[in-house]
Amino acid sequence: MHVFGASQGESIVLKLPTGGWGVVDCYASSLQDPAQNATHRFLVEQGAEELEFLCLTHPHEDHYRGMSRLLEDFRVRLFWRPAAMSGQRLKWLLKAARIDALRSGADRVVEDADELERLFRLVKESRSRRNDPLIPRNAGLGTQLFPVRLDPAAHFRIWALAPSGNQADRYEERLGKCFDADGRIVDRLPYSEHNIVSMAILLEFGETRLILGGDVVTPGWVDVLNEFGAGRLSAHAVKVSHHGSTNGYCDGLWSAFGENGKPVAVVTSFRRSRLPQRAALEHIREFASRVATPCLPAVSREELPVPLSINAPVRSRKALRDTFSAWSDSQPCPTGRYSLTFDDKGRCVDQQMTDSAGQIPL
Amino acid sequence: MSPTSAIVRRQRWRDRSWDDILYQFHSPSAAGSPPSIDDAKDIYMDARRLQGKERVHLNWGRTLQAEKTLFEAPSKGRVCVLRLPSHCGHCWSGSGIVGWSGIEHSPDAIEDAMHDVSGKGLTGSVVCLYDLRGSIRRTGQLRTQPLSSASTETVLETFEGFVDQVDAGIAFVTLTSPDGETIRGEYAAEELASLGIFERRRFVCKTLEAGGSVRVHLEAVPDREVTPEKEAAFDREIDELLADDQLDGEY
Repeated sequence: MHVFGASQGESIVLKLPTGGWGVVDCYASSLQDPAQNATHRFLVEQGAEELEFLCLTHPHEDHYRGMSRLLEDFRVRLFWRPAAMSGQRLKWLLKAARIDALRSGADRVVEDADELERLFRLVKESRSRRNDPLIPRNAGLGTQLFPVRLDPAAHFRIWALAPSGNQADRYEERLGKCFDADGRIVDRLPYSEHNIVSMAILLEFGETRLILGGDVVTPGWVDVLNEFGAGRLSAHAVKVSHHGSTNGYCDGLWSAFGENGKPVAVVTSFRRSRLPQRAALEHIREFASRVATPCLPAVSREELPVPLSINAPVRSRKALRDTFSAWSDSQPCPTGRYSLTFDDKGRCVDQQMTDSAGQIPL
Repeated sequence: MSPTSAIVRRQRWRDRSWDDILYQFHSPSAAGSPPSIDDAKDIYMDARRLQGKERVHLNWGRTLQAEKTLFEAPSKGRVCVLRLPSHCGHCWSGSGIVGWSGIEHSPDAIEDAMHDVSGKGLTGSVVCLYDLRGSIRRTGQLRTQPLSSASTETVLETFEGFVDQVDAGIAFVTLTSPDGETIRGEYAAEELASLGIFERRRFVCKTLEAGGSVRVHLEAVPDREVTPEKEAAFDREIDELLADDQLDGEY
């Protein structure tokens, strides 16, 4: 399990026991320069030419930017997306993203909307290719995603833990309210509400269990506990949900993860929203053997002072700091990688990391 | 000035163009008289009253008047008030009202008017009200001061702002300087919304200095118009793109 992360965004590359590759989410700081797409670069370096699966956990740009490039440059066999992101709901979503981008006029919003649309255009094209067409799959709580054909005896399986039907319905309802009967946009879906529909997945390899939490938030985890069952959630490693936000878990979740031994917790940053949060990390630490991150600088707990340069009058910066609790974010954190290798007995047999990765001091 | 006389004056100005108003205001010797400070006060009070009754669209920029804030509704403007800092002869904490017009104002027309103003070496904001029917009632006290004693504000820095996300009432914002420096911060989302600044939207952030103190001024960047035709065209594109994308009932 290779977890990539920088100041924001995350991507998880999985080297499967079957020998193939899988990718869950993607983030590239630049859509034009493949060198800025750490996931793409890593896969090329590893000699990957095709992906068994590509998974979009939810429609936030810090989880899909650069994903279209993967579809362009690698043959993807399976594409997983959350329930409530197909058919009419997907039309609403793409339309809302595009119209909002046009109204906003902000370059970054326009670029993100374009990328989301490009992603689904490429999915469509890949579905219609003659040889070995891509198979899309909508995932909800309890969906077996891999292998494609149900095989209870399979030594390696992947399940969707979220979204639950409740959350998918909730998302559809919220999204639907943004449109009138004629399909015209009458309201905007708050940005954070896309987390409602986030996927989480469980990988089972023999006795080894890994959980990738996407950006699932509290109500979604409550459903997982109730419907999937706490007893089936023990894990050896967990990609922490929602970048270590206090709304990325619910009561009893982490104790369920740690039921049969403390898992390794890996958290990615979402620096602009000050995630991870210390309270969440402290909670997780109780149940985890260690809390690590692919990019330590991005989760630094030091309050960064606003630099006082010749071109930035001290008085101005002080006013910004007072008004916004402002901090400087001009030094981009390089994308780091935190990699864990497990055998099929639940043992972590190797751990590798880039210079910027490491255990979060608490 | 009585409320009645304010209405009369407003009607008298109704059909004048922006150029007329600006010219008239800045050239008191021209035909007609510029609005007095009392006129301006009345308009300002109108704005506050209408804002209180939610009859003013809060969707296009803002002006800050000491503790008071006004907003613009350029698309349905019936009466417009142009406020300029320290150039009107009568200043309220550094701003003043120039005049009003009954013409219908598109966002472009407003921007043109602003350009006219800035072309005269001035900067300011437009407050555009619509539906001024009803009685006028004074609801507050305004501080007035002559131009000679008006404090002038110096812009220390200007940033392009963007509301990245709103979460639990907190707006996470990014400020980008002209040379690309990135500053992150937080602000009360409700307060930003009251300035017409919403999630995933841009704004302009200035630090202004006057009399030794520095304040932060925020101003929404107006939404760009998306015509029904453009929306319909996009509907067709999406329909085509997702024609065979059906829900496969996985949950």
